Amino acid sequence: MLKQKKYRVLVQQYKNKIYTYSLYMLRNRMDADDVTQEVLIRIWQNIDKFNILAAKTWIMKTTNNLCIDYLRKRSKKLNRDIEIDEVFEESHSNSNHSDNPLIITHNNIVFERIKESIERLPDNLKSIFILYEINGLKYKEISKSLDMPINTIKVYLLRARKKLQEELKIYEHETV
Amino acid sequence: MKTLKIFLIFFLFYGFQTPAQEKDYSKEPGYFDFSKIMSLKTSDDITEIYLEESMLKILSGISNENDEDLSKAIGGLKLIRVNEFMIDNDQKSKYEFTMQSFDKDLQNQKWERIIKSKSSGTHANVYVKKVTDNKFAGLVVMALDKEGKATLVNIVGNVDLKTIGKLSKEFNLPDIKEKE
Amino acid sequence: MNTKPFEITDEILDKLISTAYGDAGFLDKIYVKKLIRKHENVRLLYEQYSAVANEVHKVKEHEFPYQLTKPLPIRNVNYKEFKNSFWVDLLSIIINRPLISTVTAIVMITAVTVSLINIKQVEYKYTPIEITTADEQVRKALGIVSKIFNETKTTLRNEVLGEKVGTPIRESIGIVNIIFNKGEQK
Repeated sequence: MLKQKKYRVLVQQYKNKIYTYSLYMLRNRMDADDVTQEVLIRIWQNIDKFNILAAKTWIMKTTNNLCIDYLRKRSKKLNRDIEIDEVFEESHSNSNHSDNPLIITHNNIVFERIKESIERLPDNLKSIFILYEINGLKYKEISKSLDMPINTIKVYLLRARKKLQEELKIYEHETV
Repeated sequence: MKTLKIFLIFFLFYGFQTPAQEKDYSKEPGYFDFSKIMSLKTSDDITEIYLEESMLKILSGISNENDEDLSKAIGGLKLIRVNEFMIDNDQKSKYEFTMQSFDKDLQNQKWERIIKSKSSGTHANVYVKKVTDNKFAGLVVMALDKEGKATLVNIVGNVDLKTIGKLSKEFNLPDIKEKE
Repeated sequence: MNTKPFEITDEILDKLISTAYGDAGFLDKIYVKKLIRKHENVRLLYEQYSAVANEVHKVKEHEFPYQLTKPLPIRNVNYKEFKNSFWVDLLSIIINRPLISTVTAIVMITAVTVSLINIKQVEYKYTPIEITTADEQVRKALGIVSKIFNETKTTLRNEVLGEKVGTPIRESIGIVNIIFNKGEQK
């Protein structure tokens, strides 16, 4: 009974983080679903072994490791552009708060740019960027999840932000 | 999550609100607001009494051994307010008019008028707020005597009319001589 | 504002980026704001990073698809509670924010304790002189009320029943008697 309750609390708390991280890293809904399910199973299998207060880092570490395994197994170029549109359709439609079609179109374009630029980030920078900016983890938590020193995390995050800025400029240039 | 955060903030602020709040008797069913009529007074109060529940409980406890009737009368009370003051002759009719207006207000608020007396230039109205047949939530007295002395009384709480009626002899007030 | 291009070093750029994304230290923020006011090129660069940072911050987590739980080989777990559960959320806050939960609990317990202590103090704040005065006042108040009751009773008995109602009744009986007597005499 207690095990079920503990499991419920953990899954309730981290389900969105696991799923979001997997989606961004794998850029493929089916693979993200697989990874998410696998993480949920592993949480259940290991629930008695870890401290609930340290669960966050353990869960994100497991998610990250599984994502890396999946990435190693398949080619990155395959179905990339199509997968982006499919993956981000939901969150994109949620961000529209206006009825004005011009504003909606502008927001769509901006959002498209951002997500594609995040997608173009190298995996080592992207993982930190997503964990920090989207999943909301702190430096210390990311450090434990990815087994990296905090200073490295900070440096990689800055690089990710610079890279993102460059990506957006390249995109603008290509559009023009 | 947002709801939870709001909940927690609410509890935090509510926690700080709980200490040091004075009791608001105006919310009691037996309370009546005299402020409209008080504006007519032309002198300082001859008598002003304001006794709260905490004090009344102490007095009830003290009187219990020596004066059972008094203890019984005040035991269930929450508040006693009395104001006595003088009214000029030119304000008398206004005061009487306000008493009539209060009469309507009180009856609209489900107070029952048990005494309406007008004799030899003295007016007196007494109202009670009934909870059940035997239980009252409050008592209001409005009186004006021929000399222009206005009396306002509001007793909030479980008023024991029988016991109060017995008490006049105890309090060294002028005896009322009954004509034969 | 100084229009001469300011040399933005790597260190300054890092501080500028952190400020744009909202996680710079307090002193770094002040330093960057100062540079922004002074140098146009710094301001332009800051605005570019700020614009991107704002868009990034709008990106939310994806909602976990509930149907993923169905094929999981884990029994005796109520997956419906993964959808929306206030109590599970509350428990998870307590577990995951132990510091905030502890502080909140301490504050609430302190507030309740202080209010209880205050109530107790209110009960015993009267001096003997105050109690004596209040005793006189309560007698006076109840005396006023009972005086009005008794005056009314007297008025009723004497003036109403005695004179105002009694006299006409007596007179009426007298008239009836006269008529009756006259009748009898006839």
